[in-house]
Amino acid sequence: MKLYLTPHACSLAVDIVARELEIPLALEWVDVRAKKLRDGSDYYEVNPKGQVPTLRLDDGEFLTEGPVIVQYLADGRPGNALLPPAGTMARYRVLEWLNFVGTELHKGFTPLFRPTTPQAYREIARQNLATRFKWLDAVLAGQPFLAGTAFSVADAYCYTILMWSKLHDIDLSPWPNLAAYVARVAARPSVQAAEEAERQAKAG
Amino acid sequence: MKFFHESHGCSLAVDIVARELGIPLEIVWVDMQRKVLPDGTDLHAINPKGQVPSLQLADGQFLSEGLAIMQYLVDQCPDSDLASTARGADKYRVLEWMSFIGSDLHKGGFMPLFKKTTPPDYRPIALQHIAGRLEWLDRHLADRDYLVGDRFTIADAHCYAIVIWTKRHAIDVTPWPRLEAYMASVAARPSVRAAVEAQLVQEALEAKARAA
Repeated sequence: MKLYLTPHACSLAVDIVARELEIPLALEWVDVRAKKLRDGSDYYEVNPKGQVPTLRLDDGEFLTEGPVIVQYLADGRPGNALLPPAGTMARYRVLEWLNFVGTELHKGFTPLFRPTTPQAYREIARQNLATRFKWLDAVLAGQPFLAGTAFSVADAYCYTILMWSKLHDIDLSPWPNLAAYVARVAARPSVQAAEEAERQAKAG
Repeated sequence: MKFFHESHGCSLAVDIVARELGIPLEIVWVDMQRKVLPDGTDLHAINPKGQVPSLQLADGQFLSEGLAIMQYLVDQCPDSDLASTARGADKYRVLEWMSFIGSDLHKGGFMPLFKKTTPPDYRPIALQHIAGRLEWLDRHLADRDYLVGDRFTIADAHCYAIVIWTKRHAIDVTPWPRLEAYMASVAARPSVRAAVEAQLVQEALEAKARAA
């Protein structure tokens, strides 16, 4: 399988999950602004929405949407610790978190990335994020990971989005449990390897 | 099960799915401006995020996030038509559409239009994002009746519940005729008619209460 990804994009979450599951993925780096692959070909041919990540499955089909790709990967490794089996309450709890991260956190950051966003709306977007960070901080006061004691696919996604706070100079120290959580996830070998791959891609 | 619902919320999708499956839900209408339940309880007591939908399960636990709730409901009826797609070979396609609708269309598109604090100069930008997503839906619906496969799925319930907001924000959908036809076809389903009617009745009650 091949993963189409971009440094500093939400596609990092998929790479982290694949490494946690020890699923080997070929990495194809995308210039997501120009919508081009490194060989110059058109990325819209891969994903008509022009977004990363996209996963090319073994049968040649493409699967998009990060929160769905991580479920696809984890379901391919039954018994893994990252995503409980379908139909269990523990599974719905992870899905609940994945959805929260995708809608409230990820889409909460999106306006900050767009040069067209007016300053007044940037302030509102930052306030909205602060509200979410406060909630995450309260949850993480009592447990190491979002869904409890085990690192899940939702944590890979949440960490990836929280790293954007650095790009936008958002200081997480007002939320100490959240800051400690980011450090805890950052220390995982899977995360370090995925981040190293991004550094090499940027250098190359 | 108790279902915490809003008179014009995305929680409509959950109600449609429950009605399609024949799962009886006890609706509790939430006043989302004040974030209180009808008995005066603070919404945060049942969902610390202060959002709907939320579902109280038979064992008393609460489940939030529409996408998770819809999957939970479908899993209660494994032999249903809805489950045949949502749990079958196309299940990741169903989830793919729901992720797009929940993130790009709902949060990235419509959400700023609902917020009174959104500055006027951001509204045209939000409308432009919405138009791009409606265009994408229209293209996809060129040669099919439903988002995935050949029957109605939870992705269609979700899509309908969000695209219907075009009416509330006076967005003309005639530039996307295949989407418009799809919306009309979904609207004709008995489950959708009943769920929409329940919201309209509640909205009228709320308007009357405000006027009084």
